[in-house]
Amino acid sequence: METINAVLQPVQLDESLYAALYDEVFPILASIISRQGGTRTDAEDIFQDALIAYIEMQSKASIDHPAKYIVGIAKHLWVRKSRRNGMFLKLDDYEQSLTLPEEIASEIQPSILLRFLQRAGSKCMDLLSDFYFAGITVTEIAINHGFSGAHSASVQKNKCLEKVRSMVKEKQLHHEDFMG
Amino acid sequence: MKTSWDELALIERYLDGELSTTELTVFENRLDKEPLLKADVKVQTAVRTLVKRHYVLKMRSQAKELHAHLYNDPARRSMRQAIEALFK
Repeated sequence: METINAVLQPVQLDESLYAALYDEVFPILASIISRQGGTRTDAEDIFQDALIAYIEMQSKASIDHPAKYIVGIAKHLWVRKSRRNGMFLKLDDYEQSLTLPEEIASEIQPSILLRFLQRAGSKCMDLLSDFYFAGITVTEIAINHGFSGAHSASVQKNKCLEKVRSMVKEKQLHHEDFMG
Repeated sequence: MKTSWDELALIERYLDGELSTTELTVFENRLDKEPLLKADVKVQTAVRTLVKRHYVLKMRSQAKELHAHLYNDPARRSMRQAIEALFK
């Protein structure tokens, strides 16, 4: 049986999907952001977050028009980012109907606890990420992480969960604001 | 005390909204009476939030790498030039 240390292959973005959407959507988005007075870095950051939002949403429900969805989410992100500079960006009905996924909507800074978990249990964090959020089957997780099968992957997931839970409990005992 | 895997599986189903009406009623009654179970749910919620943050940060870092690779891809030179022209 594999040990926790044998867990391989972190969360992976699909390179061909990224490339296809980059070719189709990034020029459109760069054009919008440049007209709004933004920088290339703004356009890149917003495109990347919108694409992550798309991947997350797509794992829960099929999205018929990925490019339209990504542009819509990107516009929301830009409106939020540029609120203070008085620029105006019109959203159509479809774009207005979109909501930003919670973790994309907020600026995530790794907390002390998260940095600790990433150092002490990064492989487990990767495995749990795949189980909870990657929207792939247990068999695919087993293949991605080099396990012999779905059962073995599930056993490792439980071991990882136990390990991460005990680390969180430990911190929780000592720090009131442990999520910080 | 270590939480059993069965108990953890039950907590996970609770957090995923997968319990039947009957199971949910039983679970919520237990939550009222069992401080340890309540604490376990709190820890599990924290773990999921942390794993989600880890996942998003990892995806962001991979997206940055892929983006830089595509932006500098010689086969996409004309696209890069068009984008650079937008921000001059």
